[in-house]
Amino acid sequence: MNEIRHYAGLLVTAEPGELQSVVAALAAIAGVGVHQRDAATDRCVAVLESVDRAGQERLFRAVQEQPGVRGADLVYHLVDPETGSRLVLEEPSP
Amino acid sequence: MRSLSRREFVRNAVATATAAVAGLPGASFADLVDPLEKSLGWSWDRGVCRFCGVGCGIEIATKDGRIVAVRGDAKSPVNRGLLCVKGYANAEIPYGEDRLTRPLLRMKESEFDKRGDFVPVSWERAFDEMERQWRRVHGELGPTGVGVMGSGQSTIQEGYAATKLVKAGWRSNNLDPNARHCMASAVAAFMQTFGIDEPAGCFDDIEATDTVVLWGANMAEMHPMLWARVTDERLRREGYRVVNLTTFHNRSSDLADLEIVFRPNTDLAIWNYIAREIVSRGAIDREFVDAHCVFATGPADIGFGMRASDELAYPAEKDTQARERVVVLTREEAVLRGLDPRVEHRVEQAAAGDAGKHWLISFDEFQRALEPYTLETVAALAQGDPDEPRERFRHKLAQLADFYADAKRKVVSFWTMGFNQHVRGTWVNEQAYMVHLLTGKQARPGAGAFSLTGQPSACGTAREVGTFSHRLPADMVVDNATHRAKAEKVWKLPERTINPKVGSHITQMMRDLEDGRLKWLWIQVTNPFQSTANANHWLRAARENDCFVVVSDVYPTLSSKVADLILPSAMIFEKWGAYGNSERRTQMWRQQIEPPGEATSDLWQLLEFAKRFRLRDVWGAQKVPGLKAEGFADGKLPDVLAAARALGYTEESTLYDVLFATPANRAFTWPDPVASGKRNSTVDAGGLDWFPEKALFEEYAAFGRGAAHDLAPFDLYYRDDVRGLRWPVVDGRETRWRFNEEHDPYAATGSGFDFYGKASKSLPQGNLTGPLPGEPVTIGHKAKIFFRPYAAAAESPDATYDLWLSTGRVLEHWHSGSMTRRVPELHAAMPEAQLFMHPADAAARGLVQGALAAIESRRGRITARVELVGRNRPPRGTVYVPWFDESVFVNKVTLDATCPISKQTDFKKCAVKVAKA
Repeated sequence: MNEIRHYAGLLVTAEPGELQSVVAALAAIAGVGVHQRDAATDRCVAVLESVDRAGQERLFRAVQEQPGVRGADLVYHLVDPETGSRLVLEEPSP
Repeated sequence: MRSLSRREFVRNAVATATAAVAGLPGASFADLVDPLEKSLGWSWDRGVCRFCGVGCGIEIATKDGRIVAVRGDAKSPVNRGLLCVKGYANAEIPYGEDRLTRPLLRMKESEFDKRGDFVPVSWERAFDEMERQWRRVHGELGPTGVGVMGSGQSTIQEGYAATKLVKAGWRSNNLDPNARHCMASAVAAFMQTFGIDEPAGCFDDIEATDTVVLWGANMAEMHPMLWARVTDERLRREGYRVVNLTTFHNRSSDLADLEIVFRPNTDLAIWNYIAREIVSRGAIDREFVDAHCVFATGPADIGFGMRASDELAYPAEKDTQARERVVVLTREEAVLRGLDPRVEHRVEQAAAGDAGKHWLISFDEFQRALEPYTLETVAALAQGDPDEPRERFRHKLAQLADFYADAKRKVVSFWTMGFNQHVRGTWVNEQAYMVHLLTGKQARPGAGAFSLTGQPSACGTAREVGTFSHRLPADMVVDNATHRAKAEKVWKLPERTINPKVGSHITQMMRDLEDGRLKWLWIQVTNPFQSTANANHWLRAARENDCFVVVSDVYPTLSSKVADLILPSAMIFEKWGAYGNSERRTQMWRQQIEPPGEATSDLWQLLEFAKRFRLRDVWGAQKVPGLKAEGFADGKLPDVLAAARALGYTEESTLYDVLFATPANRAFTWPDPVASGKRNSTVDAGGLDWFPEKALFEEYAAFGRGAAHDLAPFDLYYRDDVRGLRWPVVDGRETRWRFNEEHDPYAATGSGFDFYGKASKSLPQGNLTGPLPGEPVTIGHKAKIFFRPYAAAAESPDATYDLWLSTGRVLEHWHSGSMTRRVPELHAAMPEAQLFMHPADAAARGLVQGALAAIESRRGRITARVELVGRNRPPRGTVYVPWFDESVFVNKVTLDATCPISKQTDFKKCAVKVAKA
């Protein structure tokens, strides 16, 4: 079934030495996934997923308000109208 | 082939895109993001953010004629792919439900009526009424009876067209931008100090420096992407220091190593303390100062830019207004001027009409003037938080002086509205240069005094094009005969077409409206009835006086409610355009989508309205009250129609043909390969076969080429590998640090540094009391180190109005919120303007968090909810109310005092009382 979903990619900067605890805290928020992280700069990427704009706003605030988060910048935003479908990709050429 | 859940794929793609933009290791766009976007059918092009003066590069995705996504441009050297929360709103701002799509005229029984309701009309009918009213007012009052308010958000081409129509066509200099409220003080100080406008440095200074000092600039909220760069450096580099000088704790304080909360207006004293320390410690860069600088000062009795008469003042305003004529010095002012503080000193503000004059002084005089600014005296005066131990505040000031005096430390001082919106805005800008020049920390990578702008094209449009009431393009001014002659030559006008009398600045235009000296006003890309201080006066004048107000805008605003005619405008990506940001970077974009309904570009509106005027209407003899200039009869502009005929025009030629659709401009044909298939709403609305945005840009650029304001050819800005260029652009190369021989092609070989600006370079010798008789001295390629004294504010708290009020912006909203308040996420994040205050001040008035409070000044009363624990934490004695919220409307309370030199309003300080509503 197709449904609209909102996605946002956040660059999260942790207080020095707090990246690990921030990653754990963010991963515990429903609708937030933590992806790439860079211990050298105390930064990680969090992806927010929600069914509407209000959900995005709620999640963004939840990330910003986590202890140990120095800042969160929105880098990428996408509204996908076809979330329920499957995607077929060509394998990259070797 | 592989198959996966689309959700999983999109999540990974978004993560990869984010990591790639942020430069995290191992991230690449191509594998995941490109196939996703291809599947969505998006088409990407690049542009510039609509909002602040940082000028972030963005990429815009369109599909089926709509903007569907925006992302930071990873190749932009300004923001490196990141955007703030407003930046993402670029995708949503065109789509508010109440976009203006048709002209609306106040009517009763099919006729214009100032008391009527707004009725949709055709463009033809709208322009008919505009023209009829213009002719009525022009016939009664002449060119000074009509005016246009422009914007630091107008495109370069729109600003240029407005300048040409008003100054060359109508021979009125009543054109002034909202940028007057934004950085006119910076302009005045640049011109007085360097003889040329705009910063020496660029944003690369953030990475090149060791020390960032913010003076009245809450960069964390107002310039977030610059703040991201500062944050990166602060967290990455040992020894990188950040100082925040502010009148209340704000978000920039969170990262700062040193937060200095000072009393309003005492920044003037703090600078002089720093300069005194530099002199007394022997920290002057003698070689630099001797080779490149002179010392100067000017009059101190310059008033506060208020009305000279209190005839129209409310009774409660009269005591503040009286300070425009006579000031009784405060104890601190007396001490710092070397006067006996036990005696009353009443000072007539005799130099209010000539506040910008200045003269040379000796270094000894300069040093003598600084002498009273000791640490003890300045700390006692400037301490902003009464609960902070004095010793701690003194220690902080000494630390600040250490940063500037340390010859091994690079320092960049950034400022914005805290300095510029200041009754001594020009002075305090000049004081920043004073300290940087004394220490040789100017025009070098990582070292410089750097004025940031608030708006996306305050530099590009307001300053460089010259949409101020005193200006012409490329730093030229209307009251200089040589400059007028140059403009008349480029514009192919008869001699003495341009009016030599400086027009009314934006606040003065409001006063003129109240006085009946201005009766026809066209407002474009701004909301002045919300943004001008002391608004109750102007609201009543616009609605009750005999005047006609036109507002061109994209959404209904407070100003459009006040208007008699509303014209629907195209938004940024519904037209072509160019902006110039704070670091002299000119950036351009293509049109991406069509304007809705009958909305049109502001440029089309200007061109189309110009068709309504023939030379016989405007180039005959005209009365200009108060005009006095060499070569002109008093109070009159000459008839130039005969000279116009000699140039090949006729009396029947329209201003459109003479000013805009010239043979040279029509040679820039449309379509043009640079469009890459994109449309042009100005061309479409006008049925044009020429490309006005390109033609007008190239015509305008001719003013600056070879005059140290060189812009590149139009097409270069659209090249795939170009992300804007910082002028002067010479031989295709931009300039990062001006006046520095290593970087600036205009700096003379062998000079090291060359302050080559030409304005105000001939001035008399004098001392601290005034100029001395004798021939003026020419200072050539040197900059001026000004001594400027401390001065108290126009209005300070007293027994009745016992709190300082400061206003400003918030991260989520742009100016009066006309666009950002229609973006649900931004509105939800900051739905209303709050009254930020100290818990003790609230408790003393029986107020608690969230309570409704009344804020009252001599000029008006408003209500707002109390905020005690938010992002701004004022010290006791100070409150802060943002101005974006029309329902709170803080500018009913603020004072319209201005810097007497720059005419920029001081929105940062007036006196109020607060009580339960």
